[in-house]
Amino acid sequence: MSDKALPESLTLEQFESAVAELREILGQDRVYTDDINELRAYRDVYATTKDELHMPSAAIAPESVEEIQKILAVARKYVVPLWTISTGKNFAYGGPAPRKAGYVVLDLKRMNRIIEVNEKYGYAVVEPGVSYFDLYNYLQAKKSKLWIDPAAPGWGSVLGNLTEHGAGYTPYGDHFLMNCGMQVVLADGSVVETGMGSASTSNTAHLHKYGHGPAVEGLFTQSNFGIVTKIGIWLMPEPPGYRPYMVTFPKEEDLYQITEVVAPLRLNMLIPNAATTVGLIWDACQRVTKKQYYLGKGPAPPSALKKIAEDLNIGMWNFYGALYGPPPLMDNNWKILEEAFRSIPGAKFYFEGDRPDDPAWKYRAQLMQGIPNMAEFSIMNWVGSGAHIDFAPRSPATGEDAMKQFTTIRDRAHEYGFDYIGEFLVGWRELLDVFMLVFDRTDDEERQRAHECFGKLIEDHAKLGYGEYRAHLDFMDQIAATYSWNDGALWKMHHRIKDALDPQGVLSPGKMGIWPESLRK
Amino acid sequence: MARELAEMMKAGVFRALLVTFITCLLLSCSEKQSVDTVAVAKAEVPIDGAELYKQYCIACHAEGPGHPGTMRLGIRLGEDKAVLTKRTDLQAVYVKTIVRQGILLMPPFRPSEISDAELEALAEYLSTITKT
Repeated sequence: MSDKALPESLTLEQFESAVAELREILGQDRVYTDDINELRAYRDVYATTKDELHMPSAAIAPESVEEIQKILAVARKYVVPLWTISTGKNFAYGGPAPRKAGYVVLDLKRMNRIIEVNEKYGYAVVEPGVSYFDLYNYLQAKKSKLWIDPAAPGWGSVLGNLTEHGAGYTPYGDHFLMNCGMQVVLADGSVVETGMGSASTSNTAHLHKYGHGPAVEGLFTQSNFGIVTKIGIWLMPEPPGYRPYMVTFPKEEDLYQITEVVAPLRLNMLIPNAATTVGLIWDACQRVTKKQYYLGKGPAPPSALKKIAEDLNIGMWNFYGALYGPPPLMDNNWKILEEAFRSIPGAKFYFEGDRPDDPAWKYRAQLMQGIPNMAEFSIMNWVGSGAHIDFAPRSPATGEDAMKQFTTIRDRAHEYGFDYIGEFLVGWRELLDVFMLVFDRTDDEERQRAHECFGKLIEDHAKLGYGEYRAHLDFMDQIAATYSWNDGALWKMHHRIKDALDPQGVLSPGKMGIWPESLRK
Repeated sequence: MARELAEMMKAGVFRALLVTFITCLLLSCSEKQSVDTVAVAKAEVPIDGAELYKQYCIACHAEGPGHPGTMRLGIRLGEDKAVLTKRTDLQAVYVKTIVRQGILLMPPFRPSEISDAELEALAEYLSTITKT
């Protein structure tokens, strides 16, 4: 018991008293304190740092708002830091692990009700524990004509991904944009419904986003100002037609022209969903591993990449998009898109049925149609015991910015001995870059190298003027520090809000670099 | 290309296409879809090993390409041991350990996701499926 991670401000006796009170609320079955049999599952198995840095002291799994209110009373009494998770699958950014060792994980997986699906208006109301698979299966069983918009791993939380500003691949891919109505429990136990949901006679809680007064939902995303216990999310009605397509490009430098061509098409919504340009290795991982092409140390050389491209009939860049709507509209739009893509030398086109044995095509076509899957995790098979953390900067959607980001990340990754595994999405007006830093998690030296590489990437991009939109636990402070305009005015404001809403700092201390006063350096 | 697009934009082509697209979506919605609101539903988890396998395992461990667990097991142990439900060598205690501790790229599953009772049923299913 002497090695037991504990909350910083608590003695073992105080901790045990707090746990005893939590057991009175939740029973024996939903309070987890066994380090080996229960809490090891709360590790971030993809972290670049040691498990001990994020080892929780306990985890608790409430099933209702009322139980959360009672838990908060205990947390305030003992000043127990609670780290909130939904389905706990936020891998690459920390998974279910808390920011610091000793926190108690507030695990909302068992709050898994699909409270409402409104077929007429196209929305669902869900709790944090509902995964994309859960919601998809529910809609299928009900023969609903509504689509979901899953993140690439289907086991993720609908609510959790939305509150982390996650994205998907249908036209409803900006998840927070599709939020309408939110229920939040504040640190003092009070429960707030946002927007129209707060009107006593409202019947538009999930139809109109704003209501009367400030729109506050954003304050509870990527933050620690409250515990989000319910959201409304708009769902896309099934369109009359759907046609996925893929365009491959042979050269690395084609990324410039792809981005220049795609950006205006996306801005004007001829491409209505996330316009995704996927790097060669990202796609190749669905079918092959690195060892099949390269047995040396460091990144796979250009000759190996060229051979992979030939063997798998893919490009150095592979663009995935989809047409939605009535056939005449899709026919008409495709004429414009085809002409645009044909302006890039070497472009090759593929449609449904052209790549029957390509799982990369299949899972992309599913995601753009709102069908959840787990295929993208195959990227971890690129190396032996693969793990990854994701670097996700944002820039204007221009060819120049795309190439600058690509070459900066590729060169830094190669310097540290890693492959470039990335994709670029034109979100709407901006370029969303995701670099998957894949490493062997059983190799301590490689983990350390990945950690250093990631830190350098943040520095590189800060100098170039690119900010990241999301961060792994270990890099939240470093990235927060890059949002420094006007002497860090934004984070100063976050801290003032934090101190006002959660003066004892019991809710997810350190989330995104927002710390309570007692823990600020 | 950019200039051509700008000209089309000026001519209102994109706006017309967008309006058409949205109108079609709305029409499709109003003509085809029910107006019922689905009643409150709980994502219940039955204590049935086969159902638990479908709910928690199959997305990564089903047969064929596109399943990262199957791919990894094929690389590590050979294709004859790649598909969990075709394995003859799985022991219940091993299944339970892997689920709670994770292995290679597979993260562990928490007791809040799969309870101990559910894990017993899942392990029983996977360790006996090829023997029954």
